[in-house]
Amino acid sequence: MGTRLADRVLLAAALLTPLLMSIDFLAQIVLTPFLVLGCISLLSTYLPARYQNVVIPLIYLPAITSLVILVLDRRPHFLIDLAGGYLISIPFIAMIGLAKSASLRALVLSYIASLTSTYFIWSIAAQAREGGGHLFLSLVNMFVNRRAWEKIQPPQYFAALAALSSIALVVYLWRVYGSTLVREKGDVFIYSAAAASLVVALTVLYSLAYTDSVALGLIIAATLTIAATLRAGVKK
Amino acid sequence: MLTREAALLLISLSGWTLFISALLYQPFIFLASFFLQTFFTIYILLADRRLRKISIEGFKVERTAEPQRIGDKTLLKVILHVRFDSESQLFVRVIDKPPYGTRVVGQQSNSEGIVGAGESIESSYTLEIDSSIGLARFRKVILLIHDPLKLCYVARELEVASDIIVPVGEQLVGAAYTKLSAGWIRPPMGLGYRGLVGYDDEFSGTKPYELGDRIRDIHWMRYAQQVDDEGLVAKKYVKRGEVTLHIVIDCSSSINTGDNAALLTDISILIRRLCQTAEEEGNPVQFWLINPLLSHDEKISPRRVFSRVALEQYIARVFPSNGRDDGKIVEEFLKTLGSSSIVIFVVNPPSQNTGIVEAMINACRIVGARYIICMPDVSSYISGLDGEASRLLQLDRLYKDKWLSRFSEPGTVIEIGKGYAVDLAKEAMRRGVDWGRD
Repeated sequence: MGTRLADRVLLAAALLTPLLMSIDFLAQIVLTPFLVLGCISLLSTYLPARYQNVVIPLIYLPAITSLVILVLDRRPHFLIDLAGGYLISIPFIAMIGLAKSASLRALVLSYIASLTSTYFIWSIAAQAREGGGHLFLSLVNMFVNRRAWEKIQPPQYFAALAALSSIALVVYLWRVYGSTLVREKGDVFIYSAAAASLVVALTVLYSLAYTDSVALGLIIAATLTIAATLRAGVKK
Repeated sequence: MLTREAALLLISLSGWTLFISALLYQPFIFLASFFLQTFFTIYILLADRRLRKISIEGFKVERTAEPQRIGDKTLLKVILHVRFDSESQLFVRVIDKPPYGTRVVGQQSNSEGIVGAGESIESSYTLEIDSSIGLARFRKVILLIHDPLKLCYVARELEVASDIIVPVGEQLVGAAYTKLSAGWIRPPMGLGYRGLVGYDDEFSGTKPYELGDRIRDIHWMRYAQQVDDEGLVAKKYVKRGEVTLHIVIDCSSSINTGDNAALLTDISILIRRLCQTAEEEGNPVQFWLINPLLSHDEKISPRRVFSRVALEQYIARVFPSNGRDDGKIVEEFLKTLGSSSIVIFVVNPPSQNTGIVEAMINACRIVGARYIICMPDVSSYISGLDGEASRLLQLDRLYKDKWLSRFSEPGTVIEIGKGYAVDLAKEAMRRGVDWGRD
């Protein structure tokens, strides 16, 4: 019981960053009925099988309604809101994927996908608030105008949250996938986590002294990946 | 070795890190991705180093196999029991190498799990055995030892030898021989040759026919010449010496020719038919198997009339094997051989043991025993010839001709064509008889 509770707490901690960022961008945008409907309609695909009769109307009704309004009434903003709704549902889909992951690889990749998509939508929401426009139109604007990305500065606590959730994720996956061996001390895991944290800390320190640490990070990541691949070997 | 999961994870993480750094540059997301990639790569390096230090000594693998007969198929249910005598635990996957002439049916159950600290794995799978194989010879078991996250593993081979003789029931053997007999057309009485009877006996005169004498020994010519109504007259023979049929088989890898071990199947049929003929006439048979994987006692059978079940157990030992035989059977062969022996050599040169066959043929020459060399016509076993295969076959033919040119005795060679083993057995015996007459 205690173990399961600890695992859930760790999973919640891993989800904390994308969840808080999602709440943050939801607070920034104007929630219209079609925006909410668009978000709900995509999320409804995760409903259990017995509710599948509900899923089809939830997806098709808002889409057909907005399309009919566009054609007959020549009012496109319902359709644009619906597209914005689809857009904001992406981080939540990634988070559900993270919570329901069945393998280590799916868990890690869902985490990065949820983090990236949440930041992506957060940036669009921030741009939409400044521009006073729709979410979907801001997305198009940001794709067209690359300078729009540079204007956005996320708050610093996102970095602290991301660090916390990353460590929580690593501990969670060790507890879930590595704890099958009861007598395993976990020293390899501890050394790896400590070494990885140290490397990240050094990279951050480097960025304080110099301008950009991305290139250094990429070199370190590539070197370690090649070393691990060559050392362990890959079966043809 | 990286597992598939680890390889995909590293590829995906590298892709994400590149994507984030190039297109969606934001330090905290990049650092999260960078941290995860660094963690997994360092973990793999450390785990791999630790796995390489694991000694194989503590592992105990036991194999049990139980033959089953389902319909016309012979199946072998194999159970592998893996233990690790240590206080620590390891996650392992066990892979058994199926022996020659078998194929795995279905999937292996419970092939992976935790061993050590009192825990063990019991994995099972089923093999289907080729009808020409009667001995399943297991050798190595591969253990894939994983790290706790199953991102990398090391492979260790354990020698777990076990020979499983697939029992051939009397009913099955009977059915096989009935099928063989149906394909064997006996010549009408009086017109054909007389099998193995007579050639080792010498006609010494006639005697009145008595109850119990064989009908084939009735002297019909003398009976026809009789004017008075006298009784039947039977031929009388003097035994010259018992004839032993020696069957020498070179079990080199070259006998594994043709699809679905076609040559091996033909050799089995040939041996069965030779032994059947010997059995009918009461002549003893002795096997000489040139097979480096067999022990000395296994290579040489006792000299006797084989029951069908006992014969199948010897046929089971005829399987292709790599390596050179020690050739110790040649000395014993020379001691056993007599001038009244017939030796049938089954060989597919070139092979690693051709030298031993040559030594045995020389032994036959020294003693004065009759010998027949049965070798396959390889071109009949290989279908769909392309240019290269055709050239290889020409080389094979060239070698065989060159090799055979050393043995100048007439009628010593018989070629085995695919599917003609039954007829060849008859031909081999006839030549053995004719040699004696020549």
